[in-house]
Amino acid sequence: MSDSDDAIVITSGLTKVFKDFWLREKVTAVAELDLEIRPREVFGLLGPNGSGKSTALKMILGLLFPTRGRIAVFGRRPTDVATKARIGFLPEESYLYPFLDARETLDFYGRLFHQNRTERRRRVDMLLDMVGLASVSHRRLGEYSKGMQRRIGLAQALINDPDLLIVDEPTSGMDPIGTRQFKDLIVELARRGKTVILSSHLLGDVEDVCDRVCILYGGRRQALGGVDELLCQQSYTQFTTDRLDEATLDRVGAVLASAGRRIRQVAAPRQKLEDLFLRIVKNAQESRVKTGGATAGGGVARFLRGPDASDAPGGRAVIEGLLAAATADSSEAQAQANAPAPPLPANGPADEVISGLVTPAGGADQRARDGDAERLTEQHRAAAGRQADRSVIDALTGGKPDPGDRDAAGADQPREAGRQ
Amino acid sequence: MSDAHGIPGANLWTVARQTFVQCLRTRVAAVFAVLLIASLALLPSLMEGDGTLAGRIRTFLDYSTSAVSVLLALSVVLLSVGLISGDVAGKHVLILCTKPLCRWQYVIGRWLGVVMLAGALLAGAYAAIYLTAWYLRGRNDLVIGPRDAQAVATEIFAARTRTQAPPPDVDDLVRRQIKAKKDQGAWDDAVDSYMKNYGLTAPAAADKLIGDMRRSAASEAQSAAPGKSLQWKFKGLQYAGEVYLAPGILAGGADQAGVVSVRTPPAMAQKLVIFGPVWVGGADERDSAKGPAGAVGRVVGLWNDGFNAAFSLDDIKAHFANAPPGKDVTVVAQPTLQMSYKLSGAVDPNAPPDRLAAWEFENPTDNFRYFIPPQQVRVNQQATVIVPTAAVDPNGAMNVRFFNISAASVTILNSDMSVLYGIGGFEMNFIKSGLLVLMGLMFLAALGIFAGSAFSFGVGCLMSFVLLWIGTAMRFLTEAISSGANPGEKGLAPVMYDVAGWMLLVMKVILPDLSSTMLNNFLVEGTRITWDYFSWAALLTVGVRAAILLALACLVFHRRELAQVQV
Repeated sequence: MSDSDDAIVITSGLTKVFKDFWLREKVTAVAELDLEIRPREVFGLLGPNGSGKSTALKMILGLLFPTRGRIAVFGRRPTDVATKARIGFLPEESYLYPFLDARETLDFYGRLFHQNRTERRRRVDMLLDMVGLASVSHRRLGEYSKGMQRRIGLAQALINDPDLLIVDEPTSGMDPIGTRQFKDLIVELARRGKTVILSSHLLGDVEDVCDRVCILYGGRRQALGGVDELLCQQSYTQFTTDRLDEATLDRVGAVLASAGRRIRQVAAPRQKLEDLFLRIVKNAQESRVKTGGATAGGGVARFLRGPDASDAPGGRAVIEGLLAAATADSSEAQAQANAPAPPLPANGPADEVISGLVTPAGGADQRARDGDAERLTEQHRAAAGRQADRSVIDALTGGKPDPGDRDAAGADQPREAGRQ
Repeated sequence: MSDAHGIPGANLWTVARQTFVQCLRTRVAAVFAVLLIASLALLPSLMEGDGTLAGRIRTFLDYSTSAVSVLLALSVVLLSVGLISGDVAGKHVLILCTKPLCRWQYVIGRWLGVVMLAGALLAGAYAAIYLTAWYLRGRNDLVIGPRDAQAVATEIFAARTRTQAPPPDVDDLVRRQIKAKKDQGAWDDAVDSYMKNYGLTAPAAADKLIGDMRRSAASEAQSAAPGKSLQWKFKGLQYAGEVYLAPGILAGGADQAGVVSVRTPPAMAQKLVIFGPVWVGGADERDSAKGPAGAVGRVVGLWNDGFNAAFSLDDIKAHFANAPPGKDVTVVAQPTLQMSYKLSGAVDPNAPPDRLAAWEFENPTDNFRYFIPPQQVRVNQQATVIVPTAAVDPNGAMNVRFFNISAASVTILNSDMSVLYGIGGFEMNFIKSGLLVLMGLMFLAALGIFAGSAFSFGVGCLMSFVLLWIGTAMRFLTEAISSGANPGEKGLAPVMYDVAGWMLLVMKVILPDLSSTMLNNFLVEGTRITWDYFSWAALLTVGVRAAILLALACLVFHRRELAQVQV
């Protein structure tokens, strides 16, 4: 575990120039990249194809050597064996041996970390259960679908309970269950104090889980900062409340107008396709429909949940929450997430009721239904609380503070504190 | 050698084990096993050699061990090149090298895995060859005459040491010839002639002239005109084996030809060799019937439970004249030597290509002599005579004389003549032969690992196979280049020969002589692999050459960018 607040990864003036056969400089994949990745943060590397994300990751992993600049991982060279013992890596594709089955694969990588037989067996069982491949663990990887290979790839990256997890395009090829599970796993690992570097061009994945992001283009850093800091629209305020009838909506409009504000958008939030998908799969599993592929998977492997973990609810609840979120109504989900807003009915005549202050594309309500909703909602609320005009809010809520607004006062606290 | 993280060598074993499993799963071993079983099943019935059982077994051993060596060499090169280059091409290294695994551990572990697989396949193959050879040995229906059975026992299922005949000493003769030419004033003319013919400087021409004179004198010294003899003095013969003593019964009295028939237990019959010596004591009351005392004769007939032996008339008179049939005797067999030789000479197409050869072997200390009467011997073919070890003195010295009874001259070159004697067991020799092959495979695995760590699969295979061919054909190439170079020639050809010679010299440093390790003839010839030879082969093939290649492979792989992109 990262035991100091010293940066986990530091790159300084990191540059990589690829040369051709005649040693002529052809491509500058990464140019003068300065990064400092701190302990216990989920750091995202964003950028379009060819922007240098993977190259930067591979230099951090010691698979490529910098043309200029320097890298330190845990204060050492990336190629140092002691450094690598604390790293887990999931590459952009499954580069595992197709002639081994899942259990042999994990056993092989476990041996490289000098885990004894009992420990290896324990971890392998837990990881297979976690990624939902326990029932197909004796099939060779060559027979696996791409998504199943991604799952076993993820399992191998976690075999050593790494302090630093580096994942390159992690959800590529994964089905929605695996994607959701993966994102929750990242959150769980971060909660345990692990550091995660995630490279992706799937912006939704990055937005859902990352604390800070770096956006690369042409190998150069274009932006660096916290997700909230970069995404938050400071000039707007967003509410989520029970469905409002026309009269109430008019009154809200009047209140806002009296404050010199106007309603910019009124819409009912849509259920996400991801949630619908997860609910259907959940139903199929409950009906015991047979499958030759991956199952939904168990909870986060116990050894990854840390010493305070117990079988239930703990980390398992994170995964179970995935499916529960898809089937439970919003009120249950929000209650589970300790979200302040009352539930909205999923369907019914009230659909046309404006969910007034909620922007359809907003991330807050979506996160509220997720298993990691607590952290993300608090994050959002904290940001919102910093900007909201309290008088307007009080007028809307009858002057009573929202019970879910308990963190508003402490909104400026660093996020890490919430995890500890 | 310890891991920075964990148990020393644990990663090596993990990678080696993984490599072993990988090779098995990729079915290379299965293909090898099928080919091996097919060849072992077909070879004994297809290969008849010279028609004798000895020839059949010898041919089987030759072809089967060669087939195993060739198949394994190809498999090992393909596997070892493909392992690392395949991991790089398939990007498996991206995961492997982010684990706490030093790159050198990965490279050496891969090599160890290939060696383990090659060792297992080789052990299986050699076990099958051994069992098949023993099965053939038990096929009494294939034995052609008693000599055949003895050849199987003493020349194939044996580990013999070979002592080459000493070269003739021609220094004095050449010195005298040079002095005579100089006295006649013909020396300078001869040197001038060499200078003109070969385009040499005066000293080089003189050297070449002296060399030619030496060769001519040596050839002359090794030739015997009709009725003449040749003589050699062997030294350092250290045979193994003990005197074997057993009871026997005279089956009959001596006949007119001086032949005595004796019945013995089968164990004794197995110790005797046809035309080899045998001591029979106790037939006469005056004999002590102990040890080698008695009469020494030559075995002229051999059965499972007895033999016929021919004695000199003096011995018959002294030892068997008063011995009745049924008389208990003591039979003593001693270890024997085999002398291998080849008569060289012109073959007359109108006459049978045989010569009459007689031999005498003398112990220089006690003057014991063993005489082999004239026998028909085919010209230009290797022949063997069996000699009692009594002809060797305690210091390992033995005098040998050849009598040319033929009407034509014959030559016996010292390179064509050697004494072979049993000194070790066949099984140990068999194991050593297999280990020599394994050493060659270890080198090839190192070569393949190096090629795979530096190049792609195609380039690595090309490089490895070219070097494998050079290593196997090293002797042929050396002879071809040395015999092809003509000192007098001018132009591009001598330059090319020089370049080729230098390249071959470099190759000799880099590569072991794979023809003497992987395609060794020790089993076929029944010659013992000495510990000296074995140790040097191990040191130079594995300890030096393979180790250097592995060190280079580790260095190259350590400095290699594993995620290099093509631009």
